[in-house]
Amino acid sequence: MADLKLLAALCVLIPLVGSTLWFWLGARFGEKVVSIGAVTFLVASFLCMLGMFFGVHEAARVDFFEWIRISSNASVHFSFLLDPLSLTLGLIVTGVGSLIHVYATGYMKGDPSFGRFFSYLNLFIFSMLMLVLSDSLVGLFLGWEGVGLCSYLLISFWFSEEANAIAGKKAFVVNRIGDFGFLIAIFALFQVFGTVSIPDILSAIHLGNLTADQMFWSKIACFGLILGASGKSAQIPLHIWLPDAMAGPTPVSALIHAATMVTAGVYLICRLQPLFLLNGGSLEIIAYMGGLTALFAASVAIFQNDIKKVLAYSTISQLGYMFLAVGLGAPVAAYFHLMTHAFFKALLFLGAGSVIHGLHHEQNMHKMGGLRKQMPITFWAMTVGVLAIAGIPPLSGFVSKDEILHTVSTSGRTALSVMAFLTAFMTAFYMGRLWVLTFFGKFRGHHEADESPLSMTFVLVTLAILSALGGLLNWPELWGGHELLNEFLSSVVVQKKIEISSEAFHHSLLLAGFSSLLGLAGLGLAWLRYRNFSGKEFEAPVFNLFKKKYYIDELYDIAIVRNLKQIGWILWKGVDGLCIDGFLNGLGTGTTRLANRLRGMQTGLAQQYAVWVWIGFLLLLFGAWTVR
Amino acid sequence: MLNENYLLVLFLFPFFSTLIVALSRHRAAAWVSVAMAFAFFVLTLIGFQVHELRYSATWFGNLKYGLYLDSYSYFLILLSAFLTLISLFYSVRVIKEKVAAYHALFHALQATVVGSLLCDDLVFFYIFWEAMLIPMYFIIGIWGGPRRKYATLKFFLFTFAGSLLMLIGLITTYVIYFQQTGTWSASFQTLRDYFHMNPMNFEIQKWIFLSFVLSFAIKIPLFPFHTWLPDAHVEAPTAGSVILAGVLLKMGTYGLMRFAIPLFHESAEYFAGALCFLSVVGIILGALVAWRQTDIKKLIAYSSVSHLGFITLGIFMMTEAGWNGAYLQMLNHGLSTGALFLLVGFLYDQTHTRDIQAYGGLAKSLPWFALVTVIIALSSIALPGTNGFVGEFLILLGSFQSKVASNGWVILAGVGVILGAVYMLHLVQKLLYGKSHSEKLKDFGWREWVFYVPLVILVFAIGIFPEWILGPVREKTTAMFNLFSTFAAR
Amino acid sequence: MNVSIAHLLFLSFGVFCIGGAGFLMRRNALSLLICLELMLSAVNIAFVSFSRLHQNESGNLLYFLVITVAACESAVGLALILNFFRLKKNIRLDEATTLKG
Repeated sequence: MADLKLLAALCVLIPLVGSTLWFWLGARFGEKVVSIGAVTFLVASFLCMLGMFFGVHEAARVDFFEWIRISSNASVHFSFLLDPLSLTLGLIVTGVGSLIHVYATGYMKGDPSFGRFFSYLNLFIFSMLMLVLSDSLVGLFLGWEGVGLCSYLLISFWFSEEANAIAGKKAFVVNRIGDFGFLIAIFALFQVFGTVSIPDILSAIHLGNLTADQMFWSKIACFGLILGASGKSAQIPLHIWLPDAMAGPTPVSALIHAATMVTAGVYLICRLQPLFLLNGGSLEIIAYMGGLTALFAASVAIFQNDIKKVLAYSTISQLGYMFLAVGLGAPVAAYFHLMTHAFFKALLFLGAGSVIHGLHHEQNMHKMGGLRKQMPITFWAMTVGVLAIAGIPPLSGFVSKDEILHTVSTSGRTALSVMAFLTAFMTAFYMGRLWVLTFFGKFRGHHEADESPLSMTFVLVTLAILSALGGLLNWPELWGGHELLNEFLSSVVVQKKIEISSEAFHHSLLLAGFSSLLGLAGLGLAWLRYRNFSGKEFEAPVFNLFKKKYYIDELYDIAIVRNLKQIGWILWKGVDGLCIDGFLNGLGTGTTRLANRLRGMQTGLAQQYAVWVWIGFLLLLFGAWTVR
Repeated sequence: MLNENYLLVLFLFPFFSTLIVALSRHRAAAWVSVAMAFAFFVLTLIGFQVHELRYSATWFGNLKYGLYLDSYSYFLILLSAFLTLISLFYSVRVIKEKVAAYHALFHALQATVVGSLLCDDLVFFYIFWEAMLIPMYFIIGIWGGPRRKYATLKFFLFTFAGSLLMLIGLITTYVIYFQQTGTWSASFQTLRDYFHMNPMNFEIQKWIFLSFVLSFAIKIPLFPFHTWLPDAHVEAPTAGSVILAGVLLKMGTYGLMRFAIPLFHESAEYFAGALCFLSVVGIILGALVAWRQTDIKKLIAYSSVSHLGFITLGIFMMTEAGWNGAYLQMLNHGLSTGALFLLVGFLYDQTHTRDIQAYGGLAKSLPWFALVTVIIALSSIALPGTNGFVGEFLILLGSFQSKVASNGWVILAGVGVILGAVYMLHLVQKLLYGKSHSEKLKDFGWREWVFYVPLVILVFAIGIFPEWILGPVREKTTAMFNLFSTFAAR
Repeated sequence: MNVSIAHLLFLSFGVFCIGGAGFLMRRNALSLLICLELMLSAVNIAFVSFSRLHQNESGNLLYFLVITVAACESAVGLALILNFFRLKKNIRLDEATTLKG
């Protein structure tokens, strides 16, 4: 137990120490030391995580110290919950994180703020581990806001561009809206259960016996958590920050905005699944939110020309799949997709980064083309990624997506099924478009491209292997596999098991065939359309809607931001300035004016004063008379 | 172990240092003053283990006076000593005119603050409460900005008007006590114990409570009595702003927690809804207006209105966790807002402008300044791990369980959490990010680090290990609430 | 003829009214002083009359007090008038308005 505590502490603290170290001494150390140091630190953290992974049976709680005492019988502890759910994600975070650190040492070479970059990156790993491992909602919230902060810092990393700074601010503020929901959920859960510890809450739910009032608050908590999750995981209506977040360096997009942080929402819902099961309606909301987001984002992705924007919308869309799965009661499928997505989306982003790096920060796909010759390794790695996300068997994306599609198609919700299949097709199409536009046809840019350095290609190849083989982790039993992940997670989350029967086998085979057909069709269509690309996209008034992302940013700007600014102005000038200060200054000037009037009585004529004395005397007399 | 003479020393020391500084020679005055402030800070630190101390003596006749120290007053004295030390140290380089008078006034201010925090006697409290205005009046009026006349007048009239009402309330309380018992007493403890056993007529109690609250609300400042604050802050010299925001505003919330509510907690519960409404309006108005400011100091001033709204919400919701959080948040706000004013002062001393548009890209030319600014801004928007979070979390969590007012207020206040991020990041973005057009600025030197290092350490120390403050405070709060509940049960 | 208290009080009242009217209407500072003396005399008449009515000495005593104060007062008043004359070369009171608000 003591070893476990030490491991857990080391695992989290090493990146934190690294973070302060690189910020403080980054400039003095030089790039080489920082690169080696940052990567070593992360690998050490990964090893600690592995140690915990194999050291823990079932689940373990590691308590460090008391953080905030709320009342005599409730307090918040810094403590970790090590169970399959958290350890799996912890492995992904540190594992993929290490790979991306290696990649970043190549990508960021020569940047004047090299040390600062790795400082933020390490800080992010620390926050993410806090989020994943924490055993209390408040500790989770610490990580939750911490990753938001790192995301903010990294998006506005190149802060000399005002636009980057604004994108970072937008990400933080939109996330804060989600965090507000999260906070309310914490309060509501504390109201019901009198504790913020996740295992305690879950065991209280298992005991049942909630009064109507408690049910009401648990429902509020569910809504709050959904808001929080949708903020962090960029689901409608809080998805607007993620595309802008692409302003950050590409390794950041891969690590934070594809592989790890954005999946926190899915993790949160899986973590508290019993609570959501208590309020069935909220799961329904999650499912529809996910389905809608998946379709919406895919439709936008088709019309983006910035390679990173395509991937950003693709991420939103894939996250939608995960929400869909969780909402339909298949958290393992969602978790599986989360894992494979971490592999292939990180791969795609890093591949895109490699292209961008090779083209000297050109991100417009219209100015690429024919790069497969110059960048063969990047090309082949990207190909694996594209095929994986498009759902071509037997790559990892196919297996995990198939599981989700299976869940949807057996759930009996036609609308969601249509959305999910349509999204699958569109995903294949826009990924095919990206692939063809980048690597085939004539080169349409200005700079000559070079293959990226070894540190980057090495990572690409590793991730490509993971993306190809990731499906084996949960290969369906129906097809003679062994559902490793399902087994592993079964103690933590509830998912209906698919019964093994010949009927189910036929159904799943049909489904797999259909979905891979959709994938092939999408890719093929893209190949036909963009093989000889001449710079002309689809042109139709309807497509403007997609190009402009359904005008949601503009809508929010007009409906919310401007109004709030207006209200701020009114409150300042109107309420504070005119009403309050106006009233008080009016009181002041009123007194002055009255005094100005009255000073006329002070004529200086002594005899006039005597008259006033007389009048006063008479009035007094009169008064005394009447009172008597 | 410390005995009650410690209280007497604590009480008299700032007066003594005022005298020393006022009499010292021009050139030495600044450093003498910093040394005295440091001595007082150390003196305060000595009392850290003290939970409760009482000193009482006879003045003349049967008029007694008493000093009383517990964790509620102790941490505020510590905060005051710390901030005074910091801001005087900062002023050494900045203030070159009438140095001795300037420093002496700050020590006098410290004396009045410590006096009102220590006294166990409502008359003395009132005297010090009023006296606090005088040094501040001169500090803003002499070393202030161009519109200092308007600002000082407004500041003085606002707070003075409130205090007069409190005086009426005080006198009424005494008279009622005299009528019922036939003896006079000004001791707060006596009065409280008496009125707990023999409650006042509720109609009268309501009015007295309101007179107290009005006076404190102006000082805090609670919406709609807050408009003096931005003006005063804008015109005050940096150190004045630090003390004003860090210490003087806290006297209002301290007054609520120490005097108004313990004496009249029935009325507090009766008016809870209305007062929570004002707090929430303050939170949201402060945040939205702060967002629209172009003057950095005004932005911070309005952010204070918003933050103090959280504190009063925690107080008026009448829950133990809320009170602990509110108390902690008082200290947090003192630290973070004080630090923000110092940061602005650092810029202002070099560029002589407070216009937000005049800055940009400072993160490039002043990396350390940027780091500290971001940390303090994060503490101000209550990021978990910083001190602001612990306070705000306890306030909101506690208030959510409140029985005296709807927890809908908490949800509305939560919106303020979002808006807090909006205006603070707006400030950060405008100052630190974007194209750099202020290349020639100097970054922190050792003089800055001397006080920013402890500030930043405190931000995290309170954020991660809040128990060293929360522990003693909670003891006090629990005792107070036990008193309320025994009364309610009776 | 039997002089009753009513007669005396009427006399006092009459003299006082004359003094008061003069005080309010005259512009000459000296006349004002005289009018003041008239009013004081009227009060003195009343004192003495009451003293006679009640057959005790306190009224008479007060008469001496008033007369003394009146003497002091006219001394101060005359000094003021003298200074005023030096300043303005006349003693018209409606020109003494420097204390106007």
